[in-house]
Amino acid sequence: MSEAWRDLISAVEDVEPPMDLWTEVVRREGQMAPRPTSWRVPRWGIVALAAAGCAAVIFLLALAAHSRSSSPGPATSQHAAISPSQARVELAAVPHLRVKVDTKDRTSSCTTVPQRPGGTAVPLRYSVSAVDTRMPAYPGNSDRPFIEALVFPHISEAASCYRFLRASDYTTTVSHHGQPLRQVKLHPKRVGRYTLEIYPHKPGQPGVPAHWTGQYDLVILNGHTVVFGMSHNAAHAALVEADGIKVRDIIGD
Amino acid sequence: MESVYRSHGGVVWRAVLTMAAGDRGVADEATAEAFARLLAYREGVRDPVAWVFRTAFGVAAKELGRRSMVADGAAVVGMVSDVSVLPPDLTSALRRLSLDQRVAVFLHYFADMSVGEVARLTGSPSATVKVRLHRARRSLRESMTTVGGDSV
Repeated sequence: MSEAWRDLISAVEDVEPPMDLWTEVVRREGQMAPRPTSWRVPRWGIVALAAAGCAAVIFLLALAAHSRSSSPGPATSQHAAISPSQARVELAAVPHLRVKVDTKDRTSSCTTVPQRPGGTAVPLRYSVSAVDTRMPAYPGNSDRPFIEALVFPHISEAASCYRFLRASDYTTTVSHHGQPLRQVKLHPKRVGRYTLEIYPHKPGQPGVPAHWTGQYDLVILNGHTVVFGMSHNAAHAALVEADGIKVRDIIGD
Repeated sequence: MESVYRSHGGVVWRAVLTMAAGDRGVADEATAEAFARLLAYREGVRDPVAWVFRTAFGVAAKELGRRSMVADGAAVVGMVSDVSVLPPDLTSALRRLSLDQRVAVFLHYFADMSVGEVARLTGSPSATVKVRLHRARRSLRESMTTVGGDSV
């Protein structure tokens, strides 16, 4: 049957295409809209482009991994400080420090700035109260130098607390008999890395313990944590600052 | 591109003529259009011969389909006009085949192309070309049996 087809189809040979077909081709080609010059990316170009893309992705991933491991974390609500139970264990090992960790505490310490009287107490993740046994206790234990650490759920709350506490070293509210409350500017003097001296006076002032020479306020901000302390002479202030730094380092962030 | 026309223009035209079962108008139209496009787009064409064959077949298929619709869908057999410049027995045999089978028959039996070459020019797998040729042979056998009362 193949030969039958060959015989049949050979008749096509007898038919000739029109003589002017090429002329028609050229005429049609001339009528076609000019095609913009097509450019084709060479094969090696595509390969190079793909390789460069892969390299760029790898570089960006490496950069992201590096920055994640080497830069401080963003200001988020993630807790970086150690847990209360860990804090209890680790702070108990610090010499001379008697520590109490409270997980149900709320603080109004951060609302003592005159502009924010009676502000709402802020719930804490936990708080740490510490005293240094090298410093004397007085009747009622009220005037003993102390260190306190407040661990907040959010970094922003810690930062606000820090600002309030530090601001209270620069202004205060005073009242004289029969006079309305008024704000008074203070002029603190820096006596340590984190400690300011306010109300300085000579020892032996009437109405205060003999060894007092002023008020020494310590405030440290570290992520979610604010460490603050108070003492009443320079020697105790140095101890409080050293203790505060230890507490800050142990709680971490 | 003119050299491509000189070497293959006649074959392309006859292939389309066979595809159109002898309709010269379709062959002229599809061949001229295919070569005109080849001239216009030559920079992006890697295999001009295969390209012009496929383009011509595509243009012809469209044209035949359009004519078939104009003819009010007068059956698939009526995909070509009644005017044929080919001998009646060949025209009759071609009209029993599909368009693809006609092309395969022409390229294989007239142009003496191998199945692989036919596959390359038509853009079809070799197996498909073999099936088309097989069906074309069977169709011709059946038609000859019917007409002559005997097999060839």
